[in-house]
Amino acid sequence: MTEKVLLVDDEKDFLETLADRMRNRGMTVDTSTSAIEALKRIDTESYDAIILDLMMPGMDGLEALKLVKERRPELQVILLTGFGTLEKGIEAMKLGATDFVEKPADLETLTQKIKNAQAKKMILVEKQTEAKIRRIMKEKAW
Amino acid sequence: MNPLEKTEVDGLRFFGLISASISHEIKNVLAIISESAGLMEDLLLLAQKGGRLDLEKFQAVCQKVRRQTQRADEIIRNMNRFSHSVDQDVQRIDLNELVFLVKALSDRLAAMREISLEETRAGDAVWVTTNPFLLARQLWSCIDFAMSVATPEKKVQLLAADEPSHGCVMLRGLSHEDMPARLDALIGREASQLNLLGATLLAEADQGGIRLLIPKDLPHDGTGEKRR
Repeated sequence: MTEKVLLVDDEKDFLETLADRMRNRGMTVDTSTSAIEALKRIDTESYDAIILDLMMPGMDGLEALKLVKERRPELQVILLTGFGTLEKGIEAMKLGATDFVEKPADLETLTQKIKNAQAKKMILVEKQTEAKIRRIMKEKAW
Repeated sequence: MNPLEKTEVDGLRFFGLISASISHEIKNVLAIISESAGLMEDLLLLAQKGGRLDLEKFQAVCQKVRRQTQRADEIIRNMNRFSHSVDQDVQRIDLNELVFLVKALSDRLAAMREISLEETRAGDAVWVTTNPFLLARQLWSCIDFAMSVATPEKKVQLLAADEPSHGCVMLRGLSHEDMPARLDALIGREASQLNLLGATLLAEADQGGIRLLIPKDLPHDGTGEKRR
């Protein structure tokens, strides 16, 4: 199943090049140069994973992660950073990040993490659907 | 902590802040170059498997690598100039050049706060004899302050100027409301450093800015000791 990914980074050259490489590997990729733009996209589009830069002008990756998880709890977020300190990694995981990757990222590793994120999302969506069906059956029980 | 120790600690913090910012920028450049190399490999692999090599795309990637290499070169050149600002306690410098350097070093930090910095040089060189590192730190402090009180337009202008007994740096694009009180607080915190530089920081509320006056000559040896 083709993975659908949203890439978020304020460095346009990085964004375009990585998006190109991911599309060459069969992924569907959208891009945003800011967290605000990304939040608008997730309101209307469904993604298997968001690759989110930690350091961005205005709203940074951790703030954006919090808001993404509020609006779309099933959405898997992989944080990208220039310097992955242990503290930042722990903070990111506590806020619900799926993974934490240091730039420059090895694309094969990142691709595998995206596949894992997609699988995790599918499980979450299935569970949500099951819970919804049970609720409906309980309400309509006769 | 006595005032001199505080100045030293503040100086180290400033050095750390700038070093960290530079390292983040260089990491970003390396990430772009790494992905570009990867994309070139992808395109060549496609061509080896019988596909057509997209020459235009390949050329565009090469140009991207060149652009980023030039960007890294500029970052490192500024880093080198900044590192050498501690070589001597007292040095005759062109204020235009120091303002240009500190502005360049501050650009990324300003961008993170969604503020743009613009620099205007004085027509001719503005020569001052001062402690270059301390003055760079003071300029950063003024820029940091200016960004905290910038108008909604989010543009801070830095202007260097020559006055009869002072070199002068003006920062414009600041809001009038909180500025004078907050500037007083800044002057209080920076008192020992301003004293070491013999510098004066003034509000120019009617012009939406502040003015840093630097004496043309330091009365001491750059560490606070009177010159013999």
